[in-house]
Amino acid sequence: MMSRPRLFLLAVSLPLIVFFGLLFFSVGRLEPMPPSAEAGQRVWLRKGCMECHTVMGDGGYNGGDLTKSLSTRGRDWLLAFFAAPPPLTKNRLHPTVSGANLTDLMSFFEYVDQLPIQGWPPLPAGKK
Amino acid sequence: MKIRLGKLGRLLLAAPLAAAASVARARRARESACECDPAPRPSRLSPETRRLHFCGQLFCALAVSLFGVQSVVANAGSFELAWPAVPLPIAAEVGRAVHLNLAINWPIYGLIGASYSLTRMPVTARIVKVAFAQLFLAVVNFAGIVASLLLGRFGGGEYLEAPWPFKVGLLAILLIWFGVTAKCYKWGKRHDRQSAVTAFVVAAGVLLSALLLVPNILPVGPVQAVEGFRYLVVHLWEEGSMELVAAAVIAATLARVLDVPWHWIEPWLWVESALFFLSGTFGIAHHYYWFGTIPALRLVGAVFSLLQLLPIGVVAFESMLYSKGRVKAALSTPAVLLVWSSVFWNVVGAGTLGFIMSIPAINRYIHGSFMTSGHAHMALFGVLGMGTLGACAAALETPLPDWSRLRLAAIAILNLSLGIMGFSLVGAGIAEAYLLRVAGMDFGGVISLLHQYFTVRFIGGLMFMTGGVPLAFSLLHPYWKYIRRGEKA
Repeated sequence: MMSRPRLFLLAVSLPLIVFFGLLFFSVGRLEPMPPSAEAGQRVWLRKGCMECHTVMGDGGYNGGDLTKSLSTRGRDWLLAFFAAPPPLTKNRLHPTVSGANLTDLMSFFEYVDQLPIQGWPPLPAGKK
Repeated sequence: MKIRLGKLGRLLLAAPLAAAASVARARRARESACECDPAPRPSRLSPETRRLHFCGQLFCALAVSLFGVQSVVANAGSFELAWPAVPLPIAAEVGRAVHLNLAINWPIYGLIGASYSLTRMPVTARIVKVAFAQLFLAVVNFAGIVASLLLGRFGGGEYLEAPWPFKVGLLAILLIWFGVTAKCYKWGKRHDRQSAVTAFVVAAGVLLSALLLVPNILPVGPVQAVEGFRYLVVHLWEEGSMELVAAAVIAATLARVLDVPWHWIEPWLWVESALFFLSGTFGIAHHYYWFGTIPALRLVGAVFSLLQLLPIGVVAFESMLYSKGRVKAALSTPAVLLVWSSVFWNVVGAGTLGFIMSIPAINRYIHGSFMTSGHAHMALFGVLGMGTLGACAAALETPLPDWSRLRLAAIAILNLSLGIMGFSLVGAGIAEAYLLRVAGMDFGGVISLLHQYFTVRFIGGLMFMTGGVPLAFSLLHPYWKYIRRGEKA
């Protein structure tokens, strides 16, 4: 009869191997991000945007989900937002980016906007 | 009708009774034998082992201190949410990042400390030096994380905001922990079964935690990959590897504090650990629903999230089993009350609420809402935090008169306030999901309508502080007095 530690190791390592196999297989099949979008993702993480905003529902909840921000607000609206960010408090404006960072961030939003994510977020009733 | 027993009749009746008495005597003799021996008294531990215990207690003291700090500073975040127009000295994104990193790091330090303080192995001076070096590294690493975040230097997604050198530092801390625990297992295999089993499960959990951290040191690749790997830490630590560590440490703590025979605990520890791991590994799918993954993953996620209720049921059953006949002692022991609190939040906040949220038809609407935040508070602090504080409370016990009543009151306040905070956020999440995803309201309008939920949450946070700070003080103050006397508990 197998000892308990060995049985335990078998019980946990088999699903772990299957899980990691599936994970790396799935990740390997992903299309690489365009370099500009990948740079934009780095801007997104470096500036801490995900502390207040979500993308694909992951991040902070204070500022709203930005997955479909490009298709719902439009590029011009977003560019205008970053050019003149609104105040968050009496003494602080919404953080902003400019120049190459802004271009990359727009590429990131464009990339995320077109991802096939099973129709998430759900649209309200009556809206297409 | 009278039954007359002759001599033979009385003999026949007495025989099975005598046999049963003999079996019971043999069982009592086994229970008092070596295998189930209680922990060696401190005087029987080697000086180096006692120094390792002292190092463990310092880790616990660090964890409890950081918990106390977190219970104060987190109020800034909840204030900002309720009254966003009021300026605060620290930006919201920085404050939140510090809060999340506190939430990840102090339970790790607490579990390290508790596991070191339970060691029975005669350690070498080298192991003690390594443990103290690890403690120094933990302090420096965490200070570095906070300093980087305060300077606005972010290095990754939620919970992983620390720049990569500090993630490497955390990895080193985990690997040192694994090394010490592996040595403990090797010794325990020959000398002490309880040490061997505890060390084995802890080592498995720690090694897995280290492996899961590796892909997250540098967030590279497509956004789905970055998020997918991020959940290896956010989910598989909380519902997998750290769950193993916490289960083993808490089991050993209860064996010591409540004097529960180890042969009661061990089988359930194996069952609980294996079930947590088996269900949690594929339960991670409930975080992957809306990444562009295959639709079948929703079924996998829902089924395994339901299966995750099994080990939680086992944990609840165990807590009743170990408390049988010891309820009065348990009610007056802060360590046990904290562990019971952890079990409660495991059932309510992590298990039941988590399962409801993982149902794909519901998740579609509440994903990315404040409901997730409510669940996170109840699961991360309620389960892992309370369990760790329980283990630390046992590790920091001293013979000095302590502040028992204050501790008990603080624990009650912590539980009540966590419920207020958690459920107010759940309520906010439900309202948000309806207003945003069904009614189609603009996000700014939704947030302004949720003000009353955030106000209740802020009040809950203030209450939490009135429980957290006294609890931290009541654990640290007697211990500090004790070590100033020159003694080690």
